[in-house]
Amino acid sequence: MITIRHLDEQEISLYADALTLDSVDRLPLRILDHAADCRHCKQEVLQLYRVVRRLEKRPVGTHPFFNTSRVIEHHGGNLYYRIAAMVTLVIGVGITSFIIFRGQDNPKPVEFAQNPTQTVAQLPNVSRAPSKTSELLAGNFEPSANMEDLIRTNFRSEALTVLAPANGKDAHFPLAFRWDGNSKDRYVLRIMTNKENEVLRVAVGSRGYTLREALAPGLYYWILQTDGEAVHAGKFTVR
Amino acid sequence: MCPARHRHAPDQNDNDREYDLLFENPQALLLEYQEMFRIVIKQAIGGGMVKIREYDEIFQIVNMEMLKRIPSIRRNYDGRALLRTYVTQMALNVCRRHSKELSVYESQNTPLAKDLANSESVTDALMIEEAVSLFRSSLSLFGRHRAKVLLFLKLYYRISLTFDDVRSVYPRAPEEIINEFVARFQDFESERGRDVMVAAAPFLNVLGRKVRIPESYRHWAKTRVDELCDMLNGNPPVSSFTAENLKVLVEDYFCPFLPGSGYK
Repeated sequence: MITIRHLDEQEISLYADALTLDSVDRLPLRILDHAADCRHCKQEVLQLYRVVRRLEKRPVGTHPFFNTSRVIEHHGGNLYYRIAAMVTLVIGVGITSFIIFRGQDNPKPVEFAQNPTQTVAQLPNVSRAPSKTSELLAGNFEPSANMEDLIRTNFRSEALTVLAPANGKDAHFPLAFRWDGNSKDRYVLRIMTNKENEVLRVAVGSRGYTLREALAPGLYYWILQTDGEAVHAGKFTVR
Repeated sequence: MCPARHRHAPDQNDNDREYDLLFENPQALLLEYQEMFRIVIKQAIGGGMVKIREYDEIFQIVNMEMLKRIPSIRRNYDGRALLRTYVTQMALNVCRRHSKELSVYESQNTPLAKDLANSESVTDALMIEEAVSLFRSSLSLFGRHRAKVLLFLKLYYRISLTFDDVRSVYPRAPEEIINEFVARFQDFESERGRDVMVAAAPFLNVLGRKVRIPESYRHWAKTRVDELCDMLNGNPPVSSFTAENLKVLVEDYFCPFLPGSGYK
């Protein structure tokens, strides 16, 4: 599980100082990048900034971070560090290649499994390179961040109740989409792949629609629209 | 990592002087920070986190807590931010923690509470000026997403695009596509919000070399608008910005007309 480290109190304070001094572009990358993506930390910074900007008496003198000759890390990076990193990388690749190729010239004796009747497939910890097909197939199941976001949207739920399919479950064909909508509204059902390519767009009734043709394996998203506006988003998987 | 501890020269700046006080006379340091603590508590009252009658009590609590935290501040302060800003942030957190113990968290919309929180800005012009300033600061907080946020704010609020708006987001996009995109979205206030995104999506897909449906773009824009409102309203909320009235600040940003603005 990846743990997100929010800005700590000092980093929040530094950002608030940066706003006061109009020096946001001189903040360390980690602080800038995290705040750009984190709603919570943005709010924390602005909350503090609201207070400090109201102080009648401003501190006299230089700021310990923004008014020094300290090298600030920019997006471009310090040239010398970049050159050093490149040289290190080249040396590292060279050493690694040398070791690999030297090992190939003098192959080690094959170590037999303790149980000589075992086949390669049965040996533990033998990994096989995944085939291209399986890689492509796996890609069909990767969630789309945008569509996942859309699913989490709180649509005007009083408009209709979705009865099927259950969100995120495996689908079987024929696949029934069922909802309890307003009989006066016209609906459009759209189904998309996980890469947001539309595979179906059809005008449907106020109660539901049945998809009879099977879809290729993958993760799919569906959107129900009325009057051009989305009223529900969901997903299902075809295996 | 604490900054090197040494006695600063008599002509030192305020931060160095306060840092010396942190070790030599922390009570005197806290006395200097009383104004800050008052502002923190007033904001908490304005937001309903603290009741007015609890002002004195929480003021005492903040001072006592900060005194207790002096050893921790000495150990942990790394010398990058101003010491007073760092201490203010700690005071804010103390206020939040203790307000939940002292009182039920409820929103107070009494005029006195709001006036107290905004006693430093008693005129409408000053309040608008503060809103304008906070809005511009909020935009800074989006960092590398700022240009994209501005572009989508224009689409969301149906403000005419410029070449630079689009170029800032898609620096490597062909000029012809950008010009076509900009030409399409001039004077389009009368179009419906969802129609705007339906028309914009094909351009955005080509410019960004991605395939997204219009709802995705609209959702992204709406999420940013909600985020800006939350930031301006504060936590606990001291304002009541919505997507509708945020439009004024957005329009002012691109064509300044409010007090306190005047540059982009």
